[in-house]
Amino acid sequence: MSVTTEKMSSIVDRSQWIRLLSKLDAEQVVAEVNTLSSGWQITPKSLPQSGLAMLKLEDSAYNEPFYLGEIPLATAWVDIVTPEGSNADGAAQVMVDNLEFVQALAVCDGILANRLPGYERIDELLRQGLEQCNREEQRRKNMLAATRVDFSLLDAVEDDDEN
Amino acid sequence: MKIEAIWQPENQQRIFRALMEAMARPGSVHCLGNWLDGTHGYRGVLASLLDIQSTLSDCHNLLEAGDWPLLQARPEVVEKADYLLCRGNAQPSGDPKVGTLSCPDQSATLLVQIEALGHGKQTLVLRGPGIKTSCTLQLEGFGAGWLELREQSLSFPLGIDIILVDQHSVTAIPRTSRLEVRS
Repeated sequence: MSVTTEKMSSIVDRSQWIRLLSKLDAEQVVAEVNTLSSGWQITPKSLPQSGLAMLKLEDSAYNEPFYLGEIPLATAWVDIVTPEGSNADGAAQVMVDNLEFVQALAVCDGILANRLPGYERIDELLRQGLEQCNREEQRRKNMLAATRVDFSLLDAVEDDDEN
Repeated sequence: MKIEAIWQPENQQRIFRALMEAMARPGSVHCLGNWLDGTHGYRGVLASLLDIQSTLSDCHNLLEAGDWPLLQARPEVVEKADYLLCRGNAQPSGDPKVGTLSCPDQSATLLVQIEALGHGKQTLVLRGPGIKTSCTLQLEGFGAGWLELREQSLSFPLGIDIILVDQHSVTAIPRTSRLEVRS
């Protein structure tokens, strides 16, 4: 994904918004959302929850389900009403155990999806998240490149042994 | 984010404690008003009792659509539901489940919304476990059909349990209680 001057929320698919925003510092996102949504009426559509989710898989021989392990998971689904009367809902499901963060992300989702007042600020966060994501991706590529083994040298060693 | 009082764990725990007391001492009336923040008692009771594993039949459409995702319970027909939410002045319809001899706990609990609890023109006298001698309960808006349904369902240990709730308070009539209606 490339970083452009267009609105991020128009370029990036909604399904990726939470992934990108969750790359940012939780306190930064929560503070931005709290400032932006001051005076808004935000109520849960389902109860925000955090805890451990079990990962269930089926074995390939008997197709019996078994629990591979557990992951931290937090979910939120909120209804937003602005003082101007705009109504929206947003949701988030993230592998964190920070309930305040996931609630803020759900509000971000609602703001971006419905272009609520001040959505440009959340759009800017989305841009920062994309940049952070690209940096991480590049770092991983570099690490992978650094661990690459050149097996062609082994052929040269074997040839030397035979001689 | 503003979360209504009945969805907050500390209030749900208090309401649940009151329900435990009501079940242990049938006919005793417990005030839930402090933890409801103005909403009706049946919403507070449901919020405390239900979770994702429960099934609920809203027999008389007392719940709003927005309550369902918060309750997390699955909607179910009367015959299969764990909990039935009913209006006391309406007639019952359908046969709630009464459990089995091996699992009598897998029966339905009726949450009946009535007009008044602790005062009113109707009088029930309860006897049985949890009551020293007898307990007199005044109430209003509890149709005779619900008592007939309870009587028909009762074949101990099988049967249904009833929770009566008005705007602010709750009481319980478990299947172990013997009832006498006084006019």
